[in-house]
Amino acid sequence: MSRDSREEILRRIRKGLYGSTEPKNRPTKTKENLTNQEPKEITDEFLTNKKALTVQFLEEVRKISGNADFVDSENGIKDFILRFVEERGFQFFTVWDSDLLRSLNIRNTLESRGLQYASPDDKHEMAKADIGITEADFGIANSGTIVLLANERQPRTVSLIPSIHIAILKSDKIVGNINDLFAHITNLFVGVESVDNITSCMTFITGPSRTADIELNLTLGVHGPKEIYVLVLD
Amino acid sequence: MEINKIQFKKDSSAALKDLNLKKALRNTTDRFRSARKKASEEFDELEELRNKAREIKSETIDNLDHYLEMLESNVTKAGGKIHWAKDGEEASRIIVEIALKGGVKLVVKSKSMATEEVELNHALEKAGLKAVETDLGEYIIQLANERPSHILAPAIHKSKDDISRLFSEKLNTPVYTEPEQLTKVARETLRKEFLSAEMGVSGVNFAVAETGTIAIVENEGNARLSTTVPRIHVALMGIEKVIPRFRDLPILLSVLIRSATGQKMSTYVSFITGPKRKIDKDGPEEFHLVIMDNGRSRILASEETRESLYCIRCGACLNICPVYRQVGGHSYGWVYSGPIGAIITPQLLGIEKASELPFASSLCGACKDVCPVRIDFPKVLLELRKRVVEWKAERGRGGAAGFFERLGVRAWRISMENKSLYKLLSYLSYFLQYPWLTSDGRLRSLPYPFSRWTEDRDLPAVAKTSFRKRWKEIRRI
Repeated sequence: MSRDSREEILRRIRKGLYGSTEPKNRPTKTKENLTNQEPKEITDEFLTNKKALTVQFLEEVRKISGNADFVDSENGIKDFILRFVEERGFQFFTVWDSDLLRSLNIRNTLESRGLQYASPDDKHEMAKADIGITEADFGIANSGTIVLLANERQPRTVSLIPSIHIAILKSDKIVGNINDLFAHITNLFVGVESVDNITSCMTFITGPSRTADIELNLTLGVHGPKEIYVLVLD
Repeated sequence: MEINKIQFKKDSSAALKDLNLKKALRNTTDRFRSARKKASEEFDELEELRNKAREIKSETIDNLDHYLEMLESNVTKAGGKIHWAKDGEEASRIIVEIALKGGVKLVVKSKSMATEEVELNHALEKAGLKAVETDLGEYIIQLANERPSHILAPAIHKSKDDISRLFSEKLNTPVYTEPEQLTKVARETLRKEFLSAEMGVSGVNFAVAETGTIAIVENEGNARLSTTVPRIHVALMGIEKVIPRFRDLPILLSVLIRSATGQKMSTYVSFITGPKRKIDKDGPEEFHLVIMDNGRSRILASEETRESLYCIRCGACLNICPVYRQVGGHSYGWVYSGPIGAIITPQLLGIEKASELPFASSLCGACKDVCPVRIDFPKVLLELRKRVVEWKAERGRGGAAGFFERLGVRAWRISMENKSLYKLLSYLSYFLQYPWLTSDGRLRSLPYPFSRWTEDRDLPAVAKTSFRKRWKEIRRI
């Protein structure tokens, strides 16, 4: 049935565009070179400097009610997380198994402090987690956006279900604007041999969850995390 | 479900009398408008991006069959399943079947105009399933059993007291006073639904043909939850939502977000390519993309109005439209309102159902000025007006112009073509206006047919000396 609908819809489209129901030979009007027409870069030359990008990134995250800090060492990251978790009295946590987080040994350290690990396999366990800790694969400076690519060691729900999200971003992964970002990541999606190597979900996160649906009052923390902390690592 | 003939004139008259609605609409549209304006001022490249965005859309629409086939192939390669729906009824049926086949009892829905177009919730409920809207504004109006008044902020006509009472009534909560408390209630209530639903339904902002990736833009996080936690994810899109390349995304996302809310970036953008990978720990096991026609191919076939399909559903035209600002969404009679509603509703539902809508406009063109893909609304509206006139003529109503309109145009022509007659009439009108002139120099209530103006607005008095005369005098000095 869907097969017939498919043929019918394509037939209607072709009739409407070309006056005939036969598929056209390609390419005639397709602008294949549009991909190469980069939109004019917004990033100044000055800003391609890593330090400037970091400063801009931190500013932008704070502008949209996120928290952002520059941390100069991996130990600094670990200290921050431990202090934070203690101050808030958290009991459950969840964390990515990415390279950096593994080398920082976050999971074991938190478990040894008496916190319980919630596994992303189990959504009801995840619902108990007070905090989710991830890395960020990229950062976009002019909007304060972090980019997360899902895979088996980087599950989606870690940055989504808990109310608090901490993301660690290496400063050399910060790019100037969305065009720069797509220049970096397109090869992760286009021309990839096996679909198993394409992430099932890439997420852009810019600040905490928000709405203005009630009388246009801005409220934070609707369905996604209420608070986000981005730790930029030198 | 059968849509009744849309009565814009009647419904908008009623809306004009609703002062609360008017206030809410004004606040909302003003807020979005100034945000959009600020965003475009800060962002010099926006004008250039709009041109590129239109180019991308026009290339897509002109080769739509090609890109849809490419999309189908790549979604399938990524492990997703494609379904084609000729019309809304078929789209609903397909989605219900997916749900029943998957043993689904509860569906969580994120915001999607397409699903409202096909009245999906109704179809799901008829099949014995529960469907919950998760966007806060949509959730509120679902509880209240009302229709949305604005595309981006559907519950804007409700005050926080209205919402407070609604929650306490339907959810048994105390009567809260602050939006934070109300939002917390919604968060906790809907969290339970996200965690127990077997299926999530979403819309699609853009579907990339080159990679089979769909992009979903939001601020609340409900689309992420709906498309990540349940076992089955179904996305519904109109055929016109496909775009050619992955590299087209930053252009279209930039113009969409800035035009809609004036933000640099929305809180979340999800780029989904198929279901979860086998080794992923979370994510849906099944991904279905329903590609729906429902009248769009008819628009495609009409060269003069084809650009109606370029719309990326940003809502900028609603916020700038002087008509929409006054009357809100309900008067447009269907899911799409404002200028975009005025052009696509008659084309999707048929001229007979929506003949008043192409006239629900002063042709000021503000919508064309703000449209991120530069749709020429006035041109399309005029073309649709022509069709209404032709349709009426076919049905023996002698053209759309009534007797007085034709008489008035004739009189106008005669007086404009004859200089002395014009001068005489101008001179006389100063005296003729006397019986209707109020003490403060206004014409508040003129006889028919002029009453059609003065019912809603005052006219200034005709001056004693005509501008022509005064200009002559000034020039002599």
